[in-house]
Amino acid sequence: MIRHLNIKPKITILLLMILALFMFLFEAYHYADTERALNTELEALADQKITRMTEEYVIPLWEVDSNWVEKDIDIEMMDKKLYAIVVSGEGNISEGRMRDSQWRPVPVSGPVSGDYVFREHDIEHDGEKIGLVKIYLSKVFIQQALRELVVKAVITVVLEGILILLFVAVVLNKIIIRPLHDILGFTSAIADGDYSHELVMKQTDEMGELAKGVNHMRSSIRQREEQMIELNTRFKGMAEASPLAIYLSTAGVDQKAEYINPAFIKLFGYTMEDVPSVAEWWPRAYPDEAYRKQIASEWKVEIEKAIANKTEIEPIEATVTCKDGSEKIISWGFVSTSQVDCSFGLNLTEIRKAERKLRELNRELEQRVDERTNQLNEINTQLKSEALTLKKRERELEIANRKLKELDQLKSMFIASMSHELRTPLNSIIGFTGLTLEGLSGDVNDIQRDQLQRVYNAGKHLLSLINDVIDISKIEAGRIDVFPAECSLQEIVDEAVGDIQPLAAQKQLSLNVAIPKDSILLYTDRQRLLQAILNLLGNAVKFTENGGATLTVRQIGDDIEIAVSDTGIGIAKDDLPRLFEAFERLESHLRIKAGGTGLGLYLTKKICTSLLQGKVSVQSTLGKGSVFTLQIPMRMEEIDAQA
Amino acid sequence: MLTRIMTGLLLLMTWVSAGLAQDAVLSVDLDANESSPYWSASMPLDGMCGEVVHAVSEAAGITSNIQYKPLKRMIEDDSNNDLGNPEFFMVNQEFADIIPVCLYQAAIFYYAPNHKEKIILQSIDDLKGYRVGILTGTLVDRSYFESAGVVFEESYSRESMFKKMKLGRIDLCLVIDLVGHQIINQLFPEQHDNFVAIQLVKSTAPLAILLAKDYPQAEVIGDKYRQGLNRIIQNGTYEEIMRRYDGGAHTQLDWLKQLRHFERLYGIREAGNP
Amino acid sequence: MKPIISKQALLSLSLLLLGMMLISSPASATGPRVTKALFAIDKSEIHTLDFPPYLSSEMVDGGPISEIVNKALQHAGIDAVISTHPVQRMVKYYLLQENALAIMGRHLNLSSETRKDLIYIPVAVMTEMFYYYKPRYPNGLSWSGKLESLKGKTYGAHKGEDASAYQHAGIAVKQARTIKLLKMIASGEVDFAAIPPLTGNWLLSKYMTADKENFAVMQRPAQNEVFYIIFNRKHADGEGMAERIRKALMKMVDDGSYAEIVKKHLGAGEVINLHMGDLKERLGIKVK
Repeated sequence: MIRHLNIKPKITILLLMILALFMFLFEAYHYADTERALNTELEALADQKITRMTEEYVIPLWEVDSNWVEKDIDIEMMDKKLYAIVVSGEGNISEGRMRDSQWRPVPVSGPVSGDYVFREHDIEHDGEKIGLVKIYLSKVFIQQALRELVVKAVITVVLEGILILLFVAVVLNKIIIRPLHDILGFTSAIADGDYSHELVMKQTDEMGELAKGVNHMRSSIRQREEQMIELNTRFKGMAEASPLAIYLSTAGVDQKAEYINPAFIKLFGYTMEDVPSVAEWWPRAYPDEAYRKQIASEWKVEIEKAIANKTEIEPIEATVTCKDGSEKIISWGFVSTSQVDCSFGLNLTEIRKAERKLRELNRELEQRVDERTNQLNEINTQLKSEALTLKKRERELEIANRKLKELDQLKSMFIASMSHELRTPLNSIIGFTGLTLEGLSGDVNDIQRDQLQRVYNAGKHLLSLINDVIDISKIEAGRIDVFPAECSLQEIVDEAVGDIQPLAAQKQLSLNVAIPKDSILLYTDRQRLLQAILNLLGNAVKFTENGGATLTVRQIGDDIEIAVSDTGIGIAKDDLPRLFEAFERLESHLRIKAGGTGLGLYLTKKICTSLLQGKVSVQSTLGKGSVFTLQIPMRMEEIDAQA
Repeated sequence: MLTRIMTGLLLLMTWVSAGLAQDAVLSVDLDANESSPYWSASMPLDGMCGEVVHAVSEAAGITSNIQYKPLKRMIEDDSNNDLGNPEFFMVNQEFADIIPVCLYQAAIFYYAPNHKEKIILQSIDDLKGYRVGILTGTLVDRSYFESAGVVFEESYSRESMFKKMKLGRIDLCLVIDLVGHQIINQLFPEQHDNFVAIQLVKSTAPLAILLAKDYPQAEVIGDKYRQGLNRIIQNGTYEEIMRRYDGGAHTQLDWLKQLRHFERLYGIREAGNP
Repeated sequence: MKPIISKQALLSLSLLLLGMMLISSPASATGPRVTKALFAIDKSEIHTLDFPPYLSSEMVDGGPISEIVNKALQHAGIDAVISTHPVQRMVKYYLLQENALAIMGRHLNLSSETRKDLIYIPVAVMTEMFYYYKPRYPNGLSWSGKLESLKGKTYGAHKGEDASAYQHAGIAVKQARTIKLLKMIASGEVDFAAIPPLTGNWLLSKYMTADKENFAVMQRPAQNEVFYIIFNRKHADGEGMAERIRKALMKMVDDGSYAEIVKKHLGAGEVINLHMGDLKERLGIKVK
């Protein structure tokens, strides 16, 4: 019942109930506590009085003074709490007072009865009993006090109830009810579509917040409504322009038509009047009952599937009978909301016709493809045969290549081993010849010296040739070791220049070095680099008559470029390509004088490219000089030492 | 003229009348405190002494108006006429005349059934071993009695003393004799004979009419009172009154001698000394 | 020698008196005062003027002088009782008319003839102070130690007091009893009177309570007055008893029991001197 009441009476009743409950509990406790306290107080008072009176009446009783006893009793009875006092003693003393119905003290006329706290005590004088005092303290005051307490409590509850009602009436009304009414009025206006006004509320409490919220809601609703209108307008526009046949019906049991777009009418010929509800549509669209059932069943299946899988309802195809009796193949899609069901149909009639045509064309195509495929298979077979032949030839070439390599290796091995066989005796010849020329084997005459010198020179030349050949063969055989190490380019250059300097000085040629001041450290095979530089410097000096040679070092990125330039005879352009081939010695008047094996540049190139991971190049102008350039990495890559 | 004469005669007559009235009947206001049976408003003719005063006054041709006041007020008032023991009033007041009219004596009472033998008191030593009841505030020589081994127990009223005595809480009571008898008659009328009184002869004291020093015609009144007293003594009225109150006990002491003694002792004008 | 009493002593005396007033229970007129005399049937009597708080049936044991005298009588082996009387003439009556053994008092203006038959034994030497009424003397009243400084004023003398010195000093004299003197000071009939402070304060507290605060004492003591026990030579063994009493008193002064009694009733300190004065010297004079 309370649920159906407004807030104000609800709160009022609630507050009153809470107050009543609280007050009841509080006052009940207070009542019990007060009763207990009053009883305790009365008992204590009784004890106090009896103790005092026990002493007080000693003298009056000892004096056998009834008047005194009586006066004392009268004085005591001024305390309203005392209901009766009876004092008796020797000498026929028996005085007492008790309360009458008007609570006046009157002589005790009989046994004292009532609800009271009783105390009695002997009166003694020097240890001897001389009397007895009895007091009766009435509990009527306790009852009175408790009654007053109850009355006070009731008054308090009533007053507080009135206060609460006032509070509810005034305060609650002001801070909750009236604002709520304002808000309700405002929301009603919103419900009626009146968004023109804003709710003004000065409160900053929850009501104020609610007003803000309502205002915000108004704005949102207005905005959404505008959006909805916009959407509706767009939808309508889209629907009107859509080629899809759209049928909007109300959701639920009735499924009344709400909207049919022009495409629907155009497609099927049915208007809203023709098909005012889905129930009207079905028999018209599917006049054949069995077919209608089938379509309904298919719809059901799709709907159930969509529900189960929580997916969209898949469209189904159906043949719809139009108003004019014609049939059209329609793919029906369905979207349902809480308010509307939307069926939209795509006319697939032409598409289905086209599909049929396509299928026929397809069949023809397939035939043709089969024929062509057979042809291709035949060609394929031929090609396979030719491929086999090619493979055979390839295998033959590989064998030939392998033989050639083997031969080349054999050659190198032959040369290397034979070179050793050649070098050993040569060293002896050179050695001993040298010793003899130095006179270590005795005196030699000039003829002997000349002859020995020729032998020595020939031996040296042959050794050099053999060494070069060995080196080349090793390089080509892949049997030469590379020993990269940290080395100073300056030292290598200095050593090379130092070796060639005497030869340059002999021909009165200058030998210059242009190397950067900063110490250049290389990680390379020092010996092979020296060998290469020596070769280039040696050639420069050999083939220069005037001027001199210059060794220039330049760092290019991670590479170092060592260029040996001379002012020698130069090289013809045509001869440049075969300059670095083995045993190629170019024709010049200095060829014989220079000597050489014809392997120097070839070997230099091999060293530079195969061992030092660099390259060598030349630029030259006939009659003016040449520049041979080595370019190697400053730091070799760590690879298999075998080149 | 006639009017003046009449007015003058009227005035003269008034004055003479007043004078004659004065000579004829003197009216005296006397204060007494309630102390039955000597002075008591509830007793006929104001008790024994009151009756004597009235008899004396009648014999003296004086009208005595007795008013009852608390003793303390009587003592504090130093300009009133007092009735009672002169010793109480003479400390704070000068009197023109003091006329002893009655005598009283103290007595030791005991309740015979509580004692096997008759009690004889001849000296202070005879009080040893007894608990003697006295009124609160009347014990003077406390140390003397303590050293004499006499035990006093003070009570606030005489009635209490007699009740206590009857109950055996005390042995003896020391009260004024007639007062004691009155109490016995009041409390234990049927047992009057069980109470024995031993007179203390040294305790004889007067009850007097004390006329304030500045009281009009105090000396004349004093003389009249004396004359009146003598008259009623002579004509036996005095003794008759005594007998009615003390049953003749007054005859045990030489009351007239005692009275004369006190007359001399308190006689201010006779002695001529302050 | 007239000792100067300090304010402290006066205050002590006042407090003592107040205490005595509170402690002592005045005898009720409705009952006979229980005194030794009541039971002294054949005993000699010593009659004295009621002189509170020193001698009074309203004081415990009759007051300090009563106890001193009773003790002295006891020591002297004299079986006598003290009877107090309200006026002096009654005391004199007993002495002169009934040949009492002895009387006690001060300012007993007995004729020289009478004195011949009397033996004066000093019991106490009391310092008296001049009482005056403050409203009449807002700036106080004092004297230089010479009575001439109070010339022109009226002195209230006790009945029987020898006031010739005052008269010689040009001071008018009126006589009355102590309480009357206090009333005359208040009414202006006299300007000052010499009273022992304890007595003065006692009487003021009892009979003139409302006016008590208007009374003051001059700082310089007035005089020392001797309180005597006066034996009657006409009484059998009066002389002998007088001498015995003198010795008994002397002994009590010497052994301190006198002072103990004073201390018991009046407290210790200066108050003892205020009541003993040159008693010892006086007691040293033998009975002639």
